[in-house]
Order: sequence, then C-alpha cells, then structure tokens
Amino acid sequence: MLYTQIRRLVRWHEDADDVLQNTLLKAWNSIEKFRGEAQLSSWLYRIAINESMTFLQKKQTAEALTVAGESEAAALESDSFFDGDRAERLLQEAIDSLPGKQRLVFCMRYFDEKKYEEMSRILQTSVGALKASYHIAAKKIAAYIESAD
Amino acid sequence: MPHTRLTFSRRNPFKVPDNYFEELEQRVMQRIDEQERSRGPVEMPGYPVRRHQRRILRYLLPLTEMAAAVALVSLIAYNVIGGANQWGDSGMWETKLTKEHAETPADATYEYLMLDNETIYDYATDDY
Repeated sequence: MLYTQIRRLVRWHEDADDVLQNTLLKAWNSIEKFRGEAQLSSWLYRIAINESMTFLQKKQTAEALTVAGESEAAALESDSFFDGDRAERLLQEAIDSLPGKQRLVFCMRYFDEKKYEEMSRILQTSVGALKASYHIAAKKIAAYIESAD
Repeated sequence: MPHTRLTFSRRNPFKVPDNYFEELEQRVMQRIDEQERSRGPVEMPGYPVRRHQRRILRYLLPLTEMAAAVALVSLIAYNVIGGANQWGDSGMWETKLTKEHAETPADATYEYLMLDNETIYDYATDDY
C-alpha cells in the first residue's frame, strides 16, 4: 500500500525506494510522537505523502534546469517494474505530466480515495483549493489521453 | 482502439524486484544503526513513561534498541508489504495492538516482543 502510493507519485522504483526508506526512517525518528490517536497506517501515510512532496519539489527544481518530459514518458514502456496495460500506461503518463501538487491531490483522491477533509488536514490546504486542484488535474488528464488518441 | 473506450482501473500496475521488501528491512535497519551510532547514546527528551518504567528503560534500552528497531521496522514493513497485494488490508493487528494495549512506543515494543513485566524486571535486575 505505502510503496504503491509513493510509486504512483514518483513513478520510478529507485525513487520510490528512496522515499520509502526516508519515510520509514522518519517514522522511526518520531515514533515517540505517535500516540495511537490515529491509526499507524494513517500516520505513516501522512509521513509518506510529505516525503513524496519534498521529493517531487526537489525533482521539479532539478528538472527545470535539465531537459525532461517526453523522453521520460516513453521510458515507461521499457520499465521492467511497470506491468500495466495500455490504459494504465496512458493514465500514469498523464499523471506524470501534472505539476507535483496536482499529482498528489489527484492520486490521493482517485487512487487512495481520501476524503477532501482528510486531504486538507494532511496537505494543510483548504477543501475548496483541493477540489479546484483535483478538477484541474482531472481535466488535464482527460485532455492528455484524448490528445494521445 | 480509441482511448475513449479504454477502461481505467485502480489496479496496481507496479512491480518490485525480487525480495525487495525482505531486503528493505535490512537496509532500513542499517540506516537506523548508522544513525544511532553517529548520534551516540540514546536520548529521550520528554518521553512520557511511568517512573518505574524510566528506571527499567535505563537498563533495558541499550539491550532493546536493536529489538525495538526490529519491532518498529517489522510493524512498518508489515503495513507496507500488507498493502502490496500479499496480505491484504484486513487485520490491522499492529494498529490495534498499539492503540488498545500500548501506552508508549516502548510498551508497543514489549507487546510485540511478548515481553511480560517479569521478563522486563529480570532483564533490569540482571547484570547486563
């Protein structure tokens, strides 16, 4: 679950591995803060989302200085750790084309089926802003898939 | 086939290398070990444990540091692997364990390791 959630956001196994390790290490370092009010899984999820967001921000900053984009999208076909069909590949490529925050919001809502209120607590963003962000992300994804037709 | 007719599922299309999760536990343990070594003695500022537990922990922590790490990583690894289509989402025993029985992370560790009070006192009073 946690690995898959991270992997959807960062796409590559090597990156997901890094983020997952950082998540576990952070959990270990702050285990005394976990009081059991929330489920352990929710607590870990929150850490994983924050770590993923940090990773995406760093990556986008680095990518702004280099050439990325289409070559990465094409590489998904040759990724031996991706076992999706055509639709799943297109969807993942569309998700990867989104800016970090929209990607996060879309995945939390669409795949993890989080409620906006919970997302709001985790991302420290208003429900209205999250709804707008999801709406824009969904439109972009639909446009990406249609344009690939 | 036009993309508009494609079926989009929420299936997990990702795979991991063989033995990834088994090796993940070792690698995280290694990073924790390295971190603990560079930090020196274990410090627990503001750690809300009962007074008698503080005394026990003073003796027990150097011994259980490794065990506690195993317990945490095992708990976490169970959660991670559990969602990776191997054990499913049901039976979140580790959450219930922490929530229902454990008062502190150390308690969770004791529960996980099935250490009862007598065993803990034995450790504490032994010449470790």
